[in-house]
Amino acid sequence: MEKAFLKMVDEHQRIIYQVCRMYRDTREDQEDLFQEIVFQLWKSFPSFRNESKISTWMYRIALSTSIATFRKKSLPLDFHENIPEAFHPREVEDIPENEARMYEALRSLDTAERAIISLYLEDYSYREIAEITGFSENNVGVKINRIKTKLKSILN
Amino acid sequence: MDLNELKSTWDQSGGRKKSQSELQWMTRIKNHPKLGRAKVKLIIETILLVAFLSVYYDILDGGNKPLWLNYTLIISMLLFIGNNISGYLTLLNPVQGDNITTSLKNLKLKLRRLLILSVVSSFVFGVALLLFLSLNVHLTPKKYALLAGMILTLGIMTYLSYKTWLSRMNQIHQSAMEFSEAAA
Repeated sequence: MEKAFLKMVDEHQRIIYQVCRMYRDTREDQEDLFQEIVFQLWKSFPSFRNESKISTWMYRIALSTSIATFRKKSLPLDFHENIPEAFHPREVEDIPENEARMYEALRSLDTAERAIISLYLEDYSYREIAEITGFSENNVGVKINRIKTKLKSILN
Repeated sequence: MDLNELKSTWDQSGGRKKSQSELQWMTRIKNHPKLGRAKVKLIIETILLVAFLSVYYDILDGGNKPLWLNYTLIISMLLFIGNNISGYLTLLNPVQGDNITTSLKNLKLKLRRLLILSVVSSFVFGVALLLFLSLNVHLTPKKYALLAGMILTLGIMTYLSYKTWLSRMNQIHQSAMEFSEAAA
């Protein structure tokens, strides 16, 4: 069972990485969260019943864990409507500029919005997003439109 | 950056790939950044309290104290240990439902219960212990000072426990609110 689990996580670890980057600011916190998510996935693995796609199950656990685990208090954020092109203090230097800018923008959304937009960007249907988040399909549609508008104004 | 660029940046984003041995290392609780330490702390605390429970009657003259006080001390200590274990299990299992909204709602309820129980159990255990130590004892100024120190320690410990669980609950409360609003 452990082999199958490790193979599965190995193949889909991009999901965990993206969720960590979205929900934590610093490299250290992201690494801690990565470990926490792998641990929670391992604990939940015996109850995974193949009723949903592996990636859907992983997203549900990864997002729930990111939101529900406790983090150290960070310094208060100064919110800016637009992010300056060359100002990404929380990102480390070896990350492409566009990627750093994208994650800064995503982190300015609230926790629910981040969950919805990440699933949307992964091409999940409204029904699947509703199942993972617990929202109605209508709400998902409305929310996605609002988030898109918000992101446009942050990124431009 | 427009939304199409955002989508393509998202698709291309990825960090350093972890090896299977690194992933396997992460599945072990002893390597967990917080739970490993919490587990050791829980085990040590429980062993010490159970050891105290097994010897207190002889060492602290339990036979000379009222029966109700003996029972109160034992029950409050068991409540304290039970609450510690329950707190640890909650930290161990942050995912509490089939979808994120339900999971957060359930976790919030658990944390609220833990917050109340941690204050009540710390307080009751502390008071029972203080009563036990001070009843039928001739109090000298030195013993009064000792008792005052213990009361102060009890107050601080109860407050710290309250603050820890409150801060955890507030974090979840904020996220749970955002999800409830989005679900409404």
